[in-house]
Amino acid sequence: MLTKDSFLLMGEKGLGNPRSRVAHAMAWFRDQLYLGVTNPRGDSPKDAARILRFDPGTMEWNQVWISPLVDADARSRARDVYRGNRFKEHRLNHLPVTETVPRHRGIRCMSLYQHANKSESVLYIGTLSQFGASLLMTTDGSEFLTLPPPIPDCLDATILSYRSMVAFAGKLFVAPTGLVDSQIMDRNFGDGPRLFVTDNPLSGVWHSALPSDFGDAGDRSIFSLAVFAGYLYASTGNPDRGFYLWRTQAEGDPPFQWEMVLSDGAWRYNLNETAATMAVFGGSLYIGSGLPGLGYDKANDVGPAAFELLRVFEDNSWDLVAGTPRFTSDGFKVPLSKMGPGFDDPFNSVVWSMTEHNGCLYVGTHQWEPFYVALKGGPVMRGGFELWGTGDGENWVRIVSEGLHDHYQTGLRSQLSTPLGLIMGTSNHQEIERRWLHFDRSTSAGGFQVWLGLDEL
Amino acid sequence: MTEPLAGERGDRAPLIILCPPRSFSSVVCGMLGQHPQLYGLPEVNLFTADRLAGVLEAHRTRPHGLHGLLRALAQLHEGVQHEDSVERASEWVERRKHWSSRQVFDHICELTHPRIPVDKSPRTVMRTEFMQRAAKIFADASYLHLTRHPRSTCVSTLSLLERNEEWGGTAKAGRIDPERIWYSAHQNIMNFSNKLREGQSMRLKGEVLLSDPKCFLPQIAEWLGLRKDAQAIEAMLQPEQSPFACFGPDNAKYGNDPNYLNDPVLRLVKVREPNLDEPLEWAQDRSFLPATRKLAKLFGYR
Repeated sequence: MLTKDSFLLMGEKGLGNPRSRVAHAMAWFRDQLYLGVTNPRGDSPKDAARILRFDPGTMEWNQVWISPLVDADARSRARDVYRGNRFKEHRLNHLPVTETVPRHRGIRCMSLYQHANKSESVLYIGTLSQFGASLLMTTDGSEFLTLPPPIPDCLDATILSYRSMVAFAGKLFVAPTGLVDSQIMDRNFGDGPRLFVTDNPLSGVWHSALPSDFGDAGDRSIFSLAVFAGYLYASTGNPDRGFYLWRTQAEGDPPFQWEMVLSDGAWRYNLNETAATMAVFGGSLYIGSGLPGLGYDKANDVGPAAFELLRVFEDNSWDLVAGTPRFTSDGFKVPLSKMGPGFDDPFNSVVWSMTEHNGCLYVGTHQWEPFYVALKGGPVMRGGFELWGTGDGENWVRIVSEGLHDHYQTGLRSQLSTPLGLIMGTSNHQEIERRWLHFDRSTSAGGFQVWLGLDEL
Repeated sequence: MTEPLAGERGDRAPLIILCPPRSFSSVVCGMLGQHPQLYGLPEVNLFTADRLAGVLEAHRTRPHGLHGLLRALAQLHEGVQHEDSVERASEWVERRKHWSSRQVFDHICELTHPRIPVDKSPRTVMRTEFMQRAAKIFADASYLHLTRHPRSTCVSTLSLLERNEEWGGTAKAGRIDPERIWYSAHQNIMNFSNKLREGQSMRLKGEVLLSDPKCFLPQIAEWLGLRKDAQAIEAMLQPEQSPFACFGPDNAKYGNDPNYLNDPVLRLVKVREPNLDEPLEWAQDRSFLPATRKLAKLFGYR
């Protein structure tokens, strides 16, 4: 298992743009690392989404794609729903808006997909955009094409992002997450669950993978996808009931038949609002839950709470790995790790990334204690993302804390197991420092970091 | 009587059911109390004051609130509840007004030993200090936080208050805000239980327990470290076997929900959960307050 001394810094300060705060999505494609970068706002040309490529041969990063610019309009300063009351008229952001802004300000997912009768995989990419998300693809890692949208034009412009994309059973599945209009931007929820499927993304012909009566009335999005034991698993985000988990074998023509695996946030109800991350390890599917923001969904008044970690088996039985003991229709659940929510840390609000690497499972958290210290005016800064690891799924070790020497790296947003090692991308909130120490705006420079974990360093 | 230190009771620390009134606590306590290792008490209300004199004073205007204590003492002292045994229990109480609530509860624990007492006194949740008193007396007590949908709780509360004069109560249905009672009681419980150690307090929807007791009763037994064999579970499905599952003698008639006392047999049917959205039956011009809705959703209601 990796230790705190296993990590090398592969990139910092947003890799050329300190406004780039989130190393959001990763893929290993044609023996190189591709990194999708997201900026928190989209009101300046400097906020353009980028795709960066790391060449292990030269050990260099190169920008291989950057979002085009478009004329600015009210959408470029749509207010984040988590920073206000969605039911009130919103005060527009006072920040200046330039004449042009990026068409896309982020990259939220990447997935490899092998077309029928083709020997090589293609890299598909989902963007995050104030003007409606898009799907991109590349066959060579240099030229990127924008695909026809999978959903009708009338809806396309309201889709903030594609958060999840998975290849399964010869098909590509993609789930839109979030909504945007000229007033409001909601990063996590829309008006219901949507999941699209195609067996040829280039054709522009997509179908709904979900029947019209799918899910619970409170479901507001498909939040994460995973492939396990011959099934595609899809979780819904649901602020009323907590997440639901479904699975399908995707047989026949879409929409497919789905089987419910978990409901009501696995009996924790809406404190398990989303199943943010899923990963396969040791014969089961691990599920990390979460609440947005500072562990509190302000828009829907849910929380505060820290995440839970669960695992489901092929027969639909499940364990609570870390979380609150409870009675359920599936029996009395106690945390196998002997740790409560957030691995006993109330500031660990989301499992933001999770992957198996060299026989161990690694969990990366969003840890918001630096916000707390800044808001309370504490004398000593504390906190930052954490990385936890396990060899058996039950005994967990905290490998990294305090943001790996930088408190303002509050989240471990992405992880990827590669031939190089375990690669981790962070989410940066350097603006906390500015608030905490009352710095002038211009003195604050942040940007995400990328770390490489090596088993033998 | 020398007071044992908190923590010395270990194997005798009670199970305390925490919930506002009208939350299925009578039938649930009746069920749990039939477990061979548990003893279900009626509403003894001992955590409402430090001394027995205080408990008596707290119930001066609502004497039916002492019926449970008198019935429990009569049953435990003499194995029977009739007017004479209740009268002697009342005299026993009168002579021990100087006792602390801890001494009285210890006395009850000794009489139920080796069975663990189950307390279900809804007044305990009306003030956080009452629950803190329970925690001070029994550091190792286990707490079952029992919930019921706020709509059905409130409707049931108002319905029972309409009959309040039958048992000498003074509260008037028209002057009571049942939503406020539901909210403040559960918020008190949350504030209290959040400070307990993990697993010391467990929350359960009464509706799911009563809809599928064969699923949830063994889990409660497992949580408490008790037997969960078929015989134990079957016993818990017969709350009517409790000595407190019927009306008592005229001088201590109640001590539990009158509806339960009238008909204590458990019926294995799915308990319907109403919704949070529709106008309130008792205030048609509004629906539940946001704080109530938030807490209800946290408990799993919609």
